[in-house]
Amino acid sequence: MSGVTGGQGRDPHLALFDDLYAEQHRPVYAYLLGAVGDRDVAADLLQEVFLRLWQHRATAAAVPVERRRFWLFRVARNVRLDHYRRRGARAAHESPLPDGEAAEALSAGGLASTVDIDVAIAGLPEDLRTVLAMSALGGMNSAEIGEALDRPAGTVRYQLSRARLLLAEELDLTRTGGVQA
Amino acid sequence: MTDRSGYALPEGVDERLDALLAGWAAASALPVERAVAIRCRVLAEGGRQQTELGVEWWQPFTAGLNRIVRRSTLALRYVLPTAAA
Repeated sequence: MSGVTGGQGRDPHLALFDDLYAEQHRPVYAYLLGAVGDRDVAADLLQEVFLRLWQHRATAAAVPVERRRFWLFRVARNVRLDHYRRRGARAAHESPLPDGEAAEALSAGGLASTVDIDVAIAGLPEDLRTVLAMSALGGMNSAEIGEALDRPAGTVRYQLSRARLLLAEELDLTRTGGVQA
Repeated sequence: MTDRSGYALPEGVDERLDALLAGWAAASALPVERAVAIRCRVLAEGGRQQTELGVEWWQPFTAGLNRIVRRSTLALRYVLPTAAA
């Protein structure tokens, strides 16, 4: 935990909050985006995560510094579950795009583009999409993702490889060479 | 992307996929202004006054933005020719 916010006499709880926000808002957002597949919803949930951090800042302060980010991910997992409960159990496992729409968008597009990969990622199963987002967007390695999600690092590595293979197939990278360099 | 195991992709595919994922990550990243707004809203809801909040905490956001721009540069090498086609 770096002392990025500095300042003598500064409220230690505010410093804790700012340190965690500066260092962890990106990985937590990546986790939430991977889980819910919608940028606006993920941003709203991110706000909820950090609001809970602020509300429970005394509890967070009692957590060892090196464990705080995993404590924060537990909060994020709870926020995600609460979001699913609000949406209803059925909607919780739907992808943002209907399957047919995703496939149609891919087949119409030909070679891969950022739009295609957006659609292809949205069409991944949630557990694969989540670890992929945490890796690609959150910049986390498999050990960090595993610790954040309470999964063995080996499982995360398998899921990352599986996600990449599915994406490469969806984007036709394995057959046609896909994107032109 | 550092974790690859279990499924081997043909030569060159990993690099193309990494470039596309870098482009996706750049497009999906939370915009700095939104990250700033979220932080301010949380603290305002928590009863903090904006005048208490200081400015030093901007620095990590700037560093993060620079990192995203660097990754996007790599991605654009692959994505732009396709988008133009």
